[in-house]
Amino acid sequence: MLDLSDLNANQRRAVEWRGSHLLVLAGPGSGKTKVLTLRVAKLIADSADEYFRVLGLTFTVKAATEMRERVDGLVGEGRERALLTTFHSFCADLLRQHGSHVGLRPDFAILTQDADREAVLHDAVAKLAETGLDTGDKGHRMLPVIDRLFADCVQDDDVAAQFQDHETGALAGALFAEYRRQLVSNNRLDFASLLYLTDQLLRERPQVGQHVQMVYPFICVDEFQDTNLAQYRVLVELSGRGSSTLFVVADDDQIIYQWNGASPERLEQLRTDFGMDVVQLPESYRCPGPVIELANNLIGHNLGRPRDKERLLPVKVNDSWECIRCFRFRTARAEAEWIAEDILKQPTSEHGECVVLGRTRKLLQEAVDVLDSRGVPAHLVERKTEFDTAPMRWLHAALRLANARHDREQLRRLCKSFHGIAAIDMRVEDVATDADTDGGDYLRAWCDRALERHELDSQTRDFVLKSVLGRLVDHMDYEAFVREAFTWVEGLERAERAPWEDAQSGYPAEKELWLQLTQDIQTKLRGQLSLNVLLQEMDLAPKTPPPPPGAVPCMTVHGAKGLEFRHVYLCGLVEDVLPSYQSRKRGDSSREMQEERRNCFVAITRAIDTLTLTFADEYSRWSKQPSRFLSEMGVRLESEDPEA
Amino acid sequence: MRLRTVRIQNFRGITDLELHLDDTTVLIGENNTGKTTVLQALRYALDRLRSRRGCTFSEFDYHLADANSDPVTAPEIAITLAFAEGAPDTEFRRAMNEAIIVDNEGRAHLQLRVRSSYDPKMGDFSQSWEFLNAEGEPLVGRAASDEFLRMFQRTRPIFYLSALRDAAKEFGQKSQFWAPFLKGMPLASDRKEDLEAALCELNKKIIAAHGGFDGIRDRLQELQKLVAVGSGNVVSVDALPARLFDVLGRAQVGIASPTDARLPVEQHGEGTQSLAVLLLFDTFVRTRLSSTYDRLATPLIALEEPEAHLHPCAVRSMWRLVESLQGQRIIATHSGDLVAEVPLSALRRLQRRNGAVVAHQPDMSHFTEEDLRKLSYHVSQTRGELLFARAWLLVEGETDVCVLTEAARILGLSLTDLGVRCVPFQATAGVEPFLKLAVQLGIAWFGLVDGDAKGEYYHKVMSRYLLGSSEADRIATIPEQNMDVYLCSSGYHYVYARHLDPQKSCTVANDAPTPEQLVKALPNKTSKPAIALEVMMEMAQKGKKAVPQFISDVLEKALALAKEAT
Repeated sequence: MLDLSDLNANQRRAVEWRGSHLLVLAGPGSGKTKVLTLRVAKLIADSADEYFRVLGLTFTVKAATEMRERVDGLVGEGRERALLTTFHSFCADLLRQHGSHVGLRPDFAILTQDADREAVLHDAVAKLAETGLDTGDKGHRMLPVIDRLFADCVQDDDVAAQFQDHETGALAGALFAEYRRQLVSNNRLDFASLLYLTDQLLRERPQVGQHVQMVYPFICVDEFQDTNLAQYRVLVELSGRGSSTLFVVADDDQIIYQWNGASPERLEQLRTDFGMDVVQLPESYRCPGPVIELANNLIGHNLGRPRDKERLLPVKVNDSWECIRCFRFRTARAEAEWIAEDILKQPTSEHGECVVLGRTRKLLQEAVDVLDSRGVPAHLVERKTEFDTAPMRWLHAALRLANARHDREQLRRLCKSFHGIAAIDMRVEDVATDADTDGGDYLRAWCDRALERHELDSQTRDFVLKSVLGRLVDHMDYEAFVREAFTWVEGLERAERAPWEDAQSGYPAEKELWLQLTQDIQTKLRGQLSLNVLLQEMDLAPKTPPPPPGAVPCMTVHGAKGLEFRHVYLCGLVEDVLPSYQSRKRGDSSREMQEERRNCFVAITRAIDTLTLTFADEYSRWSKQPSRFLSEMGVRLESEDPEA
Repeated sequence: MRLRTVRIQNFRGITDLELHLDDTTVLIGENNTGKTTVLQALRYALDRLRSRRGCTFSEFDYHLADANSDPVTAPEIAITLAFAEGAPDTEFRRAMNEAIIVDNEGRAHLQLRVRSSYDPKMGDFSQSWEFLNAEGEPLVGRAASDEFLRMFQRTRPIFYLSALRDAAKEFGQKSQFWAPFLKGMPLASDRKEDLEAALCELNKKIIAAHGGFDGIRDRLQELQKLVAVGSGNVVSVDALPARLFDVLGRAQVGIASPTDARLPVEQHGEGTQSLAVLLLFDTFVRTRLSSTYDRLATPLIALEEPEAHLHPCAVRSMWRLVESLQGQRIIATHSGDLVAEVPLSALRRLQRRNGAVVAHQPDMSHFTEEDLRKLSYHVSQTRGELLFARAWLLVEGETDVCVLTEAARILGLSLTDLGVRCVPFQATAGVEPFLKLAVQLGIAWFGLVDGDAKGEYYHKVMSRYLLGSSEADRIATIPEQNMDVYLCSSGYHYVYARHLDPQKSCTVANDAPTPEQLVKALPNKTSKPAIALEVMMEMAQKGKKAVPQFISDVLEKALALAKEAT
């Protein structure tokens, strides 16, 4: 039996919901993940003799992993009936299984880097040129246009109407179609086309959708407010326009991905399209009462919120206003230095529980530099799609090349990263020429050529011979290869320390991440993994190593979404930063300005114990006014520069 | 979700065979045409296994094309099973989602391929199980895991019941069908204690009544002095097992013999044993399968020679039992009596042609209802064994059968040995249903027709079913009106003349009647086949040379066709 005793009435109502589609409007810190996981667990626990599955869709790999761990802990037998995964990963599952209907083979590759995607675009441009359509320079710069067409799921017939200029419309239409053809015919996808092709599959083959609904009569969605149009369309088709029961958790006040296609109207559309019942979770367990008051004040300034949206209610009621501080500085430098000083006053053990949030990367870099110079380890959290250090890049390229033996781009990376590790220069052209005269296997040719090099040390020679050739090239035994690659890299003797050996951000952290991701993927797919599935899933996961323990994370508001910290420092609260310059240009009641307000709302509601708001009069020698959000929150500005 | 197609490549004697399966499928064919190989192939693909690694095939399972072939260089074995659903099978789709493929009509399919060959890099035979997508490419992800394969095999278990159904083994403690019944029912502990106490009591009474064990028990007590055993009264003589599980483990089935003496099932005749095993199996499937395997389990029953050791009448009833078995049934049989009960659509005739095994599966759309009714009456019901022939000699009537059979004997040719059967198609049935059936089942045919108008018509019909062969090789017309006239005109005039009614000899217009006139003048009651038999006896006395060239040509051609079909 599941223990629901520590749920509040609203949470319980949501978990035990037996009706049709339900929208759970969940404020920050309201226990939405708990509600969602208990809901999934309960559906399964209450139907022990059944075979149906429950699909839980999230936006981040991290959220999916966390939910999976929780559900696994709640239900014993039957845990494999819950599939908790990201939108993208579920689309990849569907395309692996049913993709032959849209021309894909199950072992497609996923392109994560813009360089790879640009190469596809260039091929598409060249192909069009062959057929007599010269796209000129314009074509090579059209990746953002293609991305927007993907995100809005624009169908070929409707592309032209998206552009005022007829010529550009025709060009974009041809290129968009050719870009997709290039991807599919080479059995490749990128993130955007993953969704687009899933939508296409489900529309062209409604039988596949009907099968999905048969298997997954319950679909749960986390953070629905982040969906773009393509994701929404996929969701509508997956649910058979409502024949599977939806359980959607969202907060319209936390939409901060408008630039990526999310929109407040989508939540309204969901409510109309599915006639959803609504349960609200206004109780916030995370933030102190005063922070909740600030948040309510702030978000009340956004127009067009649903009229029935309830105000957040603090569960923690005993906190005094001292948990909120606001300081003004003359310069950004002074601001950063004060933050460093203030964090230094905290016991070292709590440094990891502080966070510095800022609207821009530049602000954060400054904070990291200052913190570092004061001897406080800090870490700029950035989303990465690829590994950074030479050994991990080499390993990844070798595996990708093992999976697709004739991929010149991977060969290029293999050569480049190998130089970073062993200081041996191998020319891509030489290896490719060797391979082309002998079967076309770039990886084998690379090994053969490496073994000819007299400067190769004995350890590396041994590794190339036994592990790369013996394990990977001949037997595709990638698991043993990976283990031996780690041993090889770590056993290399070097005259001087390589830059990637830095324990904090370098190879050790990336190796840990690799091991963690591999394990998560194995848990998700519950079985042995073939190399191509591992690579597909690896491509779908961000490569951001966790902050080193004890370091102060510095991150953007977007990066902090879904996280919580005991002490939140939100810096740069001035006009043109938060809210951004672009949003001000669009007008005080523009959609962009409202999104900025939500950014601020998300930022302050990360705080568990204290919230510190800071701003300076001057950023990069430009004088700035205090952010409008300060007064909207109701923050009094009398306590100014603590040093003054 | 049923198994609809199995494709077998390079497995034992089969190079490439695709077989469509119904809910019940009956494989017929001569020995060595691959019936057992088909059943074994299914077993290899579906039998539960511990891991994907390792190889379950033996070296002789690889297709050895000639005397010098070696399993190491033999082509890869591939067994591909294609399942498809009838009505949407929601639960199965849910359980097996990762391997389900949906077609344009929304029907779910699942394909499993087992492959094996020698891997020179590993230096060993390797084997792989793969679920396939719509294009026949292996599915990756969860569908590629061992756990998933095992789950699938639990939902589609295969039971192979070989021709040898040994009751002693199948009703033994370790039998997969019998053991679940022995273990199935846990008793409440107080009830169990009561029963064991009663057993103990009964035991004592039996031993006391017998009285012959006292000496031995005392002597054995001395064990205590020599080795470590329990303490107290360590030796007992048990006429009955003392523990209930032990008693149940020894439970056996007794069946009263015709004298009413109760005999254990394995003491009965082979036929009874065979039936008992089948019934046990059926009960197992009905009552224990879902707990032993999976709630969704639908068994695939591979049944070899269900007719073994049974009386022909019992064989015919056997079909009803087979049809009532729960699950999908694939049967290999050599019994005409059994086949007599089987609908034509369920038949698959395996044949070796140019060294390769081919399967003939009747396309029922070629038959009209009338065809089927006639065939049911003339073939299935009465002469099921015809379906096992290599070639049919289609003739119009009984006289032809008699003449051809006897002539063959005189010539020292054995029609039976070479699998040629004479089939009189008779005026009522017409020849066409037989021709259709022969073509659909791949049975070669040779037609012999009379030299009259009717014969000309049959000839015309037959020529529509030549499938590219030349008319001369497949159809012959008797040079006279019919066989009687032909014999009469071939020097056996006198035999016919013997049968003329002396009083009615006036019916013959002159002293030297033509053979037609003579045959026509025979009295109404005369049996023409009987006269033909007399002719053949005369012919036999004269020896091989007496057989008319035309007759021996017909026989040679029919036998040639049969030889081609091997």
